[in-house]
Amino acid sequence: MGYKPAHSGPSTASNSLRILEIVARFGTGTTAKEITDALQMPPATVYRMLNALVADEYLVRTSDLRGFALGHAISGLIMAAVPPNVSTAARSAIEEFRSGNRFAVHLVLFRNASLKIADEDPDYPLQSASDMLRHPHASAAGKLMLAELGDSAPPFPKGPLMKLTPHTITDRRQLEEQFAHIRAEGQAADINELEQGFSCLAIPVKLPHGTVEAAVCLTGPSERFSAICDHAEAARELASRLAPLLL
Amino acid sequence: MSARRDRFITPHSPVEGLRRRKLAFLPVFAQAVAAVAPAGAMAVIPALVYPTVVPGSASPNLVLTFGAAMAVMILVSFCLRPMAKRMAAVSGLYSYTAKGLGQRTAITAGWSAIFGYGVIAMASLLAVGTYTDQMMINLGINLPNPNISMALVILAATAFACFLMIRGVQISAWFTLMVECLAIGLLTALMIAYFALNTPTLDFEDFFSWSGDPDVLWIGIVVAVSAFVGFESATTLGGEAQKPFISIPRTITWTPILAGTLYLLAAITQDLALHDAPTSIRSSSTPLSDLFAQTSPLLAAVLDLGIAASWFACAIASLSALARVLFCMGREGVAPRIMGRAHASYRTPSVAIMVVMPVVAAVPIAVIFSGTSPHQGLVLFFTLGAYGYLGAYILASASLPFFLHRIGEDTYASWILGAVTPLTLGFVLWKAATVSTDTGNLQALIYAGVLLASVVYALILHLRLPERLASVGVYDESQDSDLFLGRPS
Repeated sequence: MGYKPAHSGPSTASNSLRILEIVARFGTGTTAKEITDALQMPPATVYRMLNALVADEYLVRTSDLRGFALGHAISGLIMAAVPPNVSTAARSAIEEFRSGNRFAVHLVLFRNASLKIADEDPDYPLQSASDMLRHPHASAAGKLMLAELGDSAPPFPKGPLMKLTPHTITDRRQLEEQFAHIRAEGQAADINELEQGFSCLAIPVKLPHGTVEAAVCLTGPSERFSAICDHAEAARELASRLAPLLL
Repeated sequence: MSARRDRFITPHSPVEGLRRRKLAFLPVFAQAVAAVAPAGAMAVIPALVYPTVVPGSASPNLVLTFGAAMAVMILVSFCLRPMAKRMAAVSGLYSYTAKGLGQRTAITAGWSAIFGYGVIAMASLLAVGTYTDQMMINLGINLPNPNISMALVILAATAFACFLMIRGVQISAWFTLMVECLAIGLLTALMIAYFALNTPTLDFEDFFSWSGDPDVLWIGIVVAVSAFVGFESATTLGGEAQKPFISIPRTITWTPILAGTLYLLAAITQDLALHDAPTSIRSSSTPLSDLFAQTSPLLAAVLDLGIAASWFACAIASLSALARVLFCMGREGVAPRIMGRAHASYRTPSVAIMVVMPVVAAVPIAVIFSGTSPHQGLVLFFTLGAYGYLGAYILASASLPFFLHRIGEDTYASWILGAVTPLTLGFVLWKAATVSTDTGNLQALIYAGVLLASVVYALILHLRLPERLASVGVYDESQDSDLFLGRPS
C-alpha cells in the first residue's frame, strides 16, 4: 500500500488506473471500502469511478455485489503490455531449426487480434516490425491471423487500408478471397507486400484444442521465395513441435 | 483458478437461457419508451384526468397535475439509477427490493409489479380495441356489433404480440420503437395541424392556477403517473443488454424526462382544445379523436391508428417486462418452475409469455362484454395499474439505501433519497386511495387485496419453503467469461 493521492489534483483517468491496480493487487473480491482506504479518496468519488469501470467491463462485481474483480476488457491492455513468455524448450526448438536453413525464422504470437513478436531471428532481425504490428493485412503472419479470426472479430480497421508497397493488397474483397485460400491451404504468404524485396511464408501453430495462436515465419529475399517454400514441410514439423510448448 | 475466485464468481449465470449481453442501447431504450407509450398516453390520459377530476369541481389543471406526476417519477428514477448501475437485474424492481428490503418484501414488490404490468397491458389491449373501432367508424365502415369487433381486434393483437415476444426481444423492441416513433410524430403533427385550423383563445393564466378541489388533485396525479409508468421496465433487460450498466441507467434517467416534456405539451394543447369543446366530447372514451372528427374524419382515423399502434407497443413492452419477472420467479422457485424455462432457440422466456397472454387478453374482453363502457374500463385499468406500479416503486425506492448499505456503498444522499421518495409516493397513493374509496370506487380495495395476498404468500413461503424464499433475488451475475483470463463460456 502506501498510496497517497498525488499532490496536484489527481486526474480521473489516473485514479481509475490506480483503482485497477489495487484490484489487481488485492485480488478478486476487493471491496469499495478497501479501495477507498488504500487510495485515501472520498468514498463517493470511488463509487462513481468503480461504477464507470464496471460499466465498461474493466471491472466486474462479484456475486455478492460487494467485491470487484478484473474484467475481460482489461485484457487488451495487459496482454499488449506484457512481453510474451516463450519457454526455453520452444526457443531451443526454433534455434535448432534456424541452424538448418539460411532464411530468417521468427515466432509471432496472436494475442487479442493483434500480432506479438515472441522470438525474433537474432541473425536477421525484422526490418519492418512496427509496420507489421500496425498493418496486419500486409504481412503473411497478419493475414494468417485475420483469416483464422474469421467472423469472431472485426478483422479490419475502419477507413482505407495502408498501402505499404505497390504490392500491398488493400482491396477488402481480394483479401477475403485470400483468407479463404489461407484457411484451405493452412499457410499464408506475402510477396513484397510488407517490404519491397522481401517475402515471407507463415505456417500456423495449431494448439491441441484447435485454435491457431501463433505463426512460424520464414522470411527472405523475394527472388528466393520458391526456395523458402521448399522449407514449408520442415517448418510445419517445427510448428507441431512448438504447439504443446506454447500452452 | 484460486479458491477465492471460485467463491466469488459463478461459472454460469443463474438466469442462463436468455440471450446474454446482445441488446444494443436503442432496443433497451425502446423497451422503456414503448412501455410508457408516450404517443398513446398523451392522447388518452390527459382526457382521462379530465372526467376523473371533473365531478362536482371546477375545471382541472392538467399542467399542474402532469408536472407533479413528472416530478414524482424523476425522483423514482433517481432512486433506481444507482441500483441499475450495480446490478444486472432481470426482473427490475423485484430484484432491487430483494437485495434491499429482503426477500419477503420482494415478493410483495414482485406481485405489485406483475399486477401493474399486467393491468396496464390489459388497458393497452382495451385501448387498441377501442381506437381500432373508432378508426373504422371514422373511416365510415359500419360495425354491426362494436363489442365483437373490439374483442376480435384484441385477440388478434394478443396473438401478434405473443409471436413477436417469443421470437425475440430484439425484434419486438425494434418493432415497438418504430411504431412509437411514428405514433409520436403523427400525433405531434396532427396537434399542430388542429391548432392551425382552429385557433384557440389563449389564456395563460389558466395553466398555472388550480381552481378545482385539492382532493381530486391526488387522483389526477395517480392517473397522470400511469402515463409515466413503464419507464423502469428497461431494468428487466439487465441480462440481455449489451452494456447493462450504461444503457439501463441512461434509459431510466431520460425516459421520464422525455415523456414528461411530451405530456406537458399535450396537456397544454388539450387543455385548450377540450376547454371549449362540448360536454359530449369531453366525456367521450376517445375525446381527442372526436375533436378531430369534427374537423376531418380522415385525420381522426389517422390519429386513431397512431394511438392504437402506440398502445399495441405498450402492451408488448409491459408484457415482456411481466414475463421476465415471472421467469425470474420461476428460476427461484417462488413461482411454478416451468415459468423459468427459456425458449431453446429464440432464448426468450417463452413459457412465462404463453401463460400470461390468455389472462391478459381475457380480462379486457370480459370487461367489454360486461357492459362497462371502454372509457370506464380504461379509467379502471389505468388507476389499478398505477396503484400496482406505485406500490412497487415505493418498495424499490425504499430499498436504495439498504441495497447500498448491504454492499458497503451507501451515502448520505442515498438515505435522504431513499426516505423522501417512498414517503412522497406513499402520500400520493394514500391520498388517492382514500379519496377514491370515499367516492365509492373499489380500485384501492382490489389493490389492497393483491398486497394482502402477496404478504400471506410470502409468509407461507417463509414458513413452508424457506429455502425457496432464500433464493429470491437472482440476477445476471458476473460469470467466469466476464473476467480477465476467464474461461470462455
